[in-house]
Amino acid sequence: MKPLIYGVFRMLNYTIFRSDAVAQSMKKILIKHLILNKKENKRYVASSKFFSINELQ
Amino acid sequence: MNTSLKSLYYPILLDTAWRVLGFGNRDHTSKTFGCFDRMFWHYRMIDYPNSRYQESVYFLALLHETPFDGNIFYKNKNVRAWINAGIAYWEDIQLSDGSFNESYPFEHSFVATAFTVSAISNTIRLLSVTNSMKSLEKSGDWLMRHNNLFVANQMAGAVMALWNIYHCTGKNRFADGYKEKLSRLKTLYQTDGYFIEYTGCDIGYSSILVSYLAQYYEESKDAEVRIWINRCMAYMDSRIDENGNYDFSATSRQTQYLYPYGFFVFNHPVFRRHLQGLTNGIILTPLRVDDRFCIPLAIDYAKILHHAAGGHA
Repeated sequence: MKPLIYGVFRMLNYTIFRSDAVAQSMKKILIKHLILNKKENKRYVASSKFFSINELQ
Repeated sequence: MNTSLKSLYYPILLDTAWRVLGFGNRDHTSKTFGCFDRMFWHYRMIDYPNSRYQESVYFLALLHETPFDGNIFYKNKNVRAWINAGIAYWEDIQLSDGSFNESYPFEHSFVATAFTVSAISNTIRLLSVTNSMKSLEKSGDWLMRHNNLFVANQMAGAVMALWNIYHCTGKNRFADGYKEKLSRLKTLYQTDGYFIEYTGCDIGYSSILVSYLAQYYEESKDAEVRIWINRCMAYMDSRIDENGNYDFSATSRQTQYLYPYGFFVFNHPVFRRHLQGLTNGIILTPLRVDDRFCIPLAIDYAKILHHAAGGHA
């Protein structure tokens, strides 16, 4: 679901809105609901997910 | 194994392995487990994965099967699991007609199909995988129905792909397929000694073509292809300097890299110049190109080590 939301926002920005004000408003919505939302927190904890040598164990 | 080859290649390949593994989703609980397009599965900055990143599995398979000092990935079961996941994900993103996307949805990209099928089928042969035959056949049939007669290196990739599919499946139609592709490729040969890459000759692309044809020649011993390779290498020889670099400003695609495998197979002087360039630290290596080109160039280097260690890529 979340990748779809990001994708829709990208498409709307490119095609219809084309506005800094709208992009900033969307950014606030995304941060509030997708990143800070406690239910989603574990999914959006910053993790680079680069390879670690421990993964070979 | 040659000492300079060891000292030059080992650190490049081991460092590249860390990078390539980072491209991949190694979380077996994730829906995108096995996807190697990090911009898609991790950052979600693009909406569709580039199938060409799945060529990573061939690079990992070569490391998995090549013992050398410091190679912590050799015969590692987790690496094998990630390779299997990468093959499975490649099957998941295959389009219904057997082709693949690179840059956008419904692209049915010839290069993505030819090159990923070549890499995946090479992996399957190297690791004796018995799954994925249906996907390979679907892609093989698509490749047999399509060509890209502007770009010879892509056609060479298709030859390798169909050759491998024939050997994986044993089905004669794919033997007819690679032979037909070779006859099409022949029409792209120019009397000056190079194959057409869009509007003319491109050294980087030609080195990719030579790499694919060299691998095909090693198994097939096709004398006519050997002649093509010799002429192509002769054309490039006079344009590549003592460090393996060349003036790319006048070439058709202005690529800057050199794929060394073909020159290695035939012990051509350009390979020694390539090693000289590595020694002097002044040529592009898999560590110095972008993510997209890191993988296929790393595969070419890994094929050399695997070959030198007694294996066949």
